[in-house]
Amino acid sequence: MKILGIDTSCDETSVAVVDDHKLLCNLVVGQQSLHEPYGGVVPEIAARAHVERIVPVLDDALTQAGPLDAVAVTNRPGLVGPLLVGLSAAKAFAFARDLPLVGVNHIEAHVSASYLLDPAPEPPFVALIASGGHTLLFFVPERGVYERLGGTIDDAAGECFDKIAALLGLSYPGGPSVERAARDGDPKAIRFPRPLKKDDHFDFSFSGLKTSVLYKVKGQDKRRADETVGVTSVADFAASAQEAIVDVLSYKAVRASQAMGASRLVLGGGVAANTRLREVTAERAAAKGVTLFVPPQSLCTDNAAMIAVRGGELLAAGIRDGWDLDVDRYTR
Amino acid sequence: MATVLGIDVTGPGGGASLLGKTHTIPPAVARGRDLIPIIARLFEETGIAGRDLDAIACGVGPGSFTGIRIGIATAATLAYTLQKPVVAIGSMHGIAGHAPAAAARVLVVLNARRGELFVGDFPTGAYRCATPDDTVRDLAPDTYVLGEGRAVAPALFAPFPGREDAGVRPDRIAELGAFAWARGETLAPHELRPHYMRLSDPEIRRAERDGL
Repeated sequence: MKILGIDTSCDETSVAVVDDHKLLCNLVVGQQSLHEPYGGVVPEIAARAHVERIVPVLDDALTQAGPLDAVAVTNRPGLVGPLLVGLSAAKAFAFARDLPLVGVNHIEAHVSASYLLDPAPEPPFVALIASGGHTLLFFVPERGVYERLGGTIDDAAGECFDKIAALLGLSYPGGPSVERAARDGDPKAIRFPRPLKKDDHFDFSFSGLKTSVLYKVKGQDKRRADETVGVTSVADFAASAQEAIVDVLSYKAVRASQAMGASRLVLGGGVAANTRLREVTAERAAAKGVTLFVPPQSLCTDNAAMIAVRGGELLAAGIRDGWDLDVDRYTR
Repeated sequence: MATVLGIDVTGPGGGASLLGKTHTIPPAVARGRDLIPIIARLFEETGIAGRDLDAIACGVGPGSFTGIRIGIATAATLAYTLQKPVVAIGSMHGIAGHAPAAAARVLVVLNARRGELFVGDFPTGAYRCATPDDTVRDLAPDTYVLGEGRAVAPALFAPFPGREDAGVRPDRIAELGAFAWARGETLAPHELRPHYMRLSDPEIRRAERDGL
């Protein structure tokens, strides 16, 4: 079944075509330069860019993919203005071609991205989805079933990267810029806190880490002033902060796999594009006999291929939406 | 007369129109949810299929930024998929259709926020952004003033005839679209662009901050 996927939930205009887990095309047009001056995604600017790009991107994808069987579109969660552009286009296209339409949860789709891997992870497995908007741990007992084990109680991991980047004077988005800066730094230079790491649940908290970086950067941490002596480089700050985020994410993800008796672990979301997170999680998973599945970076960051895969699962389960499909920005 | 589907969801009264039939979306209902369903109903009721259309006309603003985009994403994608041309119509041209034919001059006023109005001046059809004071300065007393922008400065607009509750008219968008189509004023679907008349608020604040 050849499925068209559309995603405009944040700042990427993406259209993809997937044929029974075979990726035919996955076009992603980003907007980073538009949002960089603001230090974060501006919803109105994102929506304005989407509406100018959606038809040309759709045209490119269709030229590459030929006739289709169904349309899947992200309708939750996300920024409402941006979401509405993709939803409107998807509905118009499906209506004009008389194709089945299905609305997809963007976060669940990040898990489904792993089904494009060869070999693909077989449930049961645990999935860690970490991005600029979300940080969630799921247990997937079978295909298409997502049991939430925990999530962030404040900032998302990617949001934490963005805020730390801003504090260190690094560019937006923070994930790639902190990772680049960290390459020349010592991850042990500063011991940043690991909030909730050893707690007996699977929730995360990253706002305290951001505050800690702020105090260290501004030299206001009077209690541990000795630690900051000699630590001046942005690279050390970046490497140490990244290490704290990676440590908590990888530790809790592997522990969740063990707790659920799952021998497979899946990473997804934009933060899963972080090389250090991939390395540390792979080491920890291997040490516990857990097999790690991580899609390539292009399928970790926002993309419509994963929307098409998730749409295919829903359609196979007999789920189909009407022409009155709406956005739901608040779904978690 | 050409067969043109008219779409305008940039404000109250928004919806779609085909062959004189119009369905509007109540203000409390999400426009993103209901636009395709009412287009489907129009096709059903008129017996017209997408392939029978000559063009799709779309109200491109000014108005609700989100509404502008729902209309354009829908109209452009429908047209692209059906391989039909599109026509861009200013949304205030649709609102002006509420004025009596005898009115020599018509102003459409919409609340542009920041103490300003979007002003559509007819019959010239020129759009501008102006304060309420500038809008009424030297305005002939028989000018017919239409639109929710009257509520921004009720005392200023009280002397002028007109209506505050005049919303967008998808039927007028379809009609103007048919005239434009006959004149060859069509666009390829991807050329259909919003007419916001305003930068986004973050862009305005940034420009003010940087003294641009």
